[in-house]
Order: sequence, then structure tokens, then C-alpha cells
Amino acid sequence: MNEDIHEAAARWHVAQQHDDMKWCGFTCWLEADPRHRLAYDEIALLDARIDATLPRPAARGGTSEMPMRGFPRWAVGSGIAAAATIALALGIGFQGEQPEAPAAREFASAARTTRTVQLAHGVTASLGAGSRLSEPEAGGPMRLRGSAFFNIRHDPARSVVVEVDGYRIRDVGTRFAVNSANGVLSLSVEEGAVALQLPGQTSETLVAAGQEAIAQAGRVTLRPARVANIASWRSGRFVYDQTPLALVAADIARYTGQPVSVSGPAAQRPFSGVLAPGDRQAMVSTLTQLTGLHAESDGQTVRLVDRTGG
Amino acid sequence: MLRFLVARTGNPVEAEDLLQELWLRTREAPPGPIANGRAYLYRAAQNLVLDRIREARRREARDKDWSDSQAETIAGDRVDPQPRALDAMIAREDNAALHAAIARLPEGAGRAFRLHKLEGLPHAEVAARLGISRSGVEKHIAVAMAHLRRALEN
Repeated sequence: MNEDIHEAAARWHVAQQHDDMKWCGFTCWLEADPRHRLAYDEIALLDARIDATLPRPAARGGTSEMPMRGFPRWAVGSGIAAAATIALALGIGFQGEQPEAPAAREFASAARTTRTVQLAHGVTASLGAGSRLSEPEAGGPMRLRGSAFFNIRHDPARSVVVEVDGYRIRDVGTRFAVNSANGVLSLSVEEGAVALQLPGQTSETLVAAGQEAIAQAGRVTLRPARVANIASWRSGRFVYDQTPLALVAADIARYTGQPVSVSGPAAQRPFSGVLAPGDRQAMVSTLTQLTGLHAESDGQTVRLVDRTGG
Repeated sequence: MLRFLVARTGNPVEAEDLLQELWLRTREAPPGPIANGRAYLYRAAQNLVLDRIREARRREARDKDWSDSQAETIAGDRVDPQPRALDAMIAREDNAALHAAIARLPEGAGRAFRLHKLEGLPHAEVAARLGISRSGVEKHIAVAMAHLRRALEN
């Protein structure tokens, strides 16, 4: 992630202990890019960790209005309830200061974290690490990059459409997981059914509960899916069953936030096994042990290659 | 305030929930004098959000530990043999790494950071001590935190 973003996040964080903090400006900065919030989270967590680790300096004069770490201590200690209550009642804020609303809501998950978001119309989405989802405010298809598990409440009046890398998934009340990278898409349905439309095609393939569709190069294959393994990253492991290596490499890259690629025929090779989340080196090393592939690094990207020529 | 919480959490549903909690807690708190209600309110909201994030991280770490320890019992699947001892070692090294990273901060940023964080001086006093403006001090501390983040990430 960009260093400037973290420095900007830290500046906002440092400034907030003063009463002249520009809270509106901070809000606008957060709204400008979902990465700003993630960077701010990191800085705030780091600061909390620093304060927990370093020996606490003795309280000094002039710091009586320093912000509190835990809300209760503040609430009891400085007793500002009256003013705060009035502030809330008056609706302190700045609705209207920046009237133009964003056209879409963006949700992003950082490396090593999954994130569950509530969307409109009874849709819950869990984003895998390093994934993004945008939801147009005016309705219409949601756009996904990476992997996610969707839980959609049944409503006969409407269907939900998710677009990912040119694929189009249409659903009417169901639970399903999708993972897409490098033109390969995996779509596993836990409950209900969804219709899958491939890039540049008009016909749809119906994927039913307990089925997984693997789509690549304009073709779809259906096969049984083990329901317990659908979007297994939600419970902290990556479980694969005959999954193309292109998707496995993409999972590692998104989880660690560092590039991992697999090219040539190896990208289509099916992989079965379990990967525990870890750093890139550990995850790649497990994968190479299980597949017999070799990992080559140019300092940036780790490439998985098949040296046997198969 | 709601708009701030939506921006801060990225999630309108959670923001509504937090606003409720903020409202309840301010009502429970005893009345008393306050210099700047608005700033306090925002800082209180900030702390609520941070508490939630930390709680979520802890829960994720627990789940991961559990599933790591369960992984070996899955029949029929090949399993990642990642050693658990590594986790304990990382935890022990964390504090040492933080202190080492603070020691390696660039000069100006490091001095401002240490005066504020280790000696507990408020920004204004750090500014007087170093002969720079308060905003200069804030800039130094922000640079220091960005440095620490990068140093501890690896």
C-alpha cells in the first residue's frame, strides 16, 4: 500500500487529540478512497499497540484533555455527558456540506483479513482477503474483484446480479461463493441456485445447490461441491478440491498482499489440499511441496513453474 | 456524526449500531463540565470503532489458531505442516522489534516521537523543545508512525 496514504492517515490520527481537528476533512478523506480507511485502521491499531507496549509516561499538566483509550474511562472520568448529549441531539455533523453522494458504495478487505458487509435488499457478503466489492447506489449489478461468499435472502420480486471479471452471476435467494482470477472462475452453490453467464455469451448455465462450476476459456464444467469446503477461508483455512492452480495462486496473492502467479499449463492443473494462512513464503512453500512445482522469485513476483515440462 | 461513522467503518449498518452505542454511553455518563463537546464526541466515536476492530482481530486470530490446531485431524486431506512454535516466537520478538524500530527512526521524526510517546510531552511542549511549530511536530510524529508501520510489517 502507498506510503503516502499511511503518512496521511497518521497525520489525521496525530491531529485528533487537538480540539481544532478537522473532523469534516477527515471524513471526506476517508470517503475519498476505501484504502484510506484500511490505512487508518492500521495506523490506529499500531498506535494502540505502541501505547500498550511502551512504559506509560507519568501524566503531565496540559494533557488533561488527551483522548481516552477506552470509552468508559473517558465517560466516567471527564463527565461530558451533558454536552455530548446535546451535541448528538442537535445532530452535530455536516450533512449537506458535501451534498454529492458517491455513485457506488465500495467495500474492500485488506490482506490477511476477511470482511463481512451488509448490503441492500437482504444481501450479506463476506469478502475474502484482498478483495473488493462495489454496490451501485441506484441498484444494478454489483461488481466483485477477488473472492466472496454471498448470502442472499429470498425475494421473488427481484434477483441479485454480481459481475466479476466479465462473468455475470444472477441469483434469486441463495448462498454461494465465487472466486475469480486470471480468467478462471469458480462458483460454488451452497443453497438455492444461480445462473452463470460467461464473458461475451448470452446463454446462462444453471448451477444448483451442492454444485461447483469451474469456468475458463469460454467453457463451464459442473461437478459436485463439498458444502463444508465452500469458501473455507471464512473459517481460517483454504481448502481445495480439484481447484485450478490459477485460483490457488490468486488466493495466496490476495491473502498476503504480494504477487504470486502461475502460468502455462500448470495454471489449469487441479490442486487438492489444505493451506493454512501464513506469509507468502510459507504458503508458497507448502504449495510447492504438495504439487511438485518450483517457485521462482524475481524479488517482486513469485512464479510457480513446472520444471518437468508437464 | 452518522456520516463520519459510515466513512470510518465503511459499513452503514455497523455505523448505525455504533451511533446507538455512542448515544447510550453518553446518556449513562455522569454530567460535568467539558471544553469541546464536538471533539470529545468524535474521539469517543473513534475509540468505539477501534475497540470493535481490535475485538474483531482478536476473534479472527482465535479462530485461526483453532482451525490450525484442528487441521491435522481432517481425514483424507493433505495438510499444511506449519509449525505452531513459530507463533510463540513471533509474539516474543514483537516487543523487541518495536523498540528496535523506534531506535532506527529518522532523526527529526524519532526525536519528536520519543519526546511525545516515551516522555509523555504534549505536542506543544515538544514543539517548544525542538523549536518548531506544532504542525511540524505532528508531521514528524506521522512520519515516524508510517516508518514504524513499514518496519513492523516485515
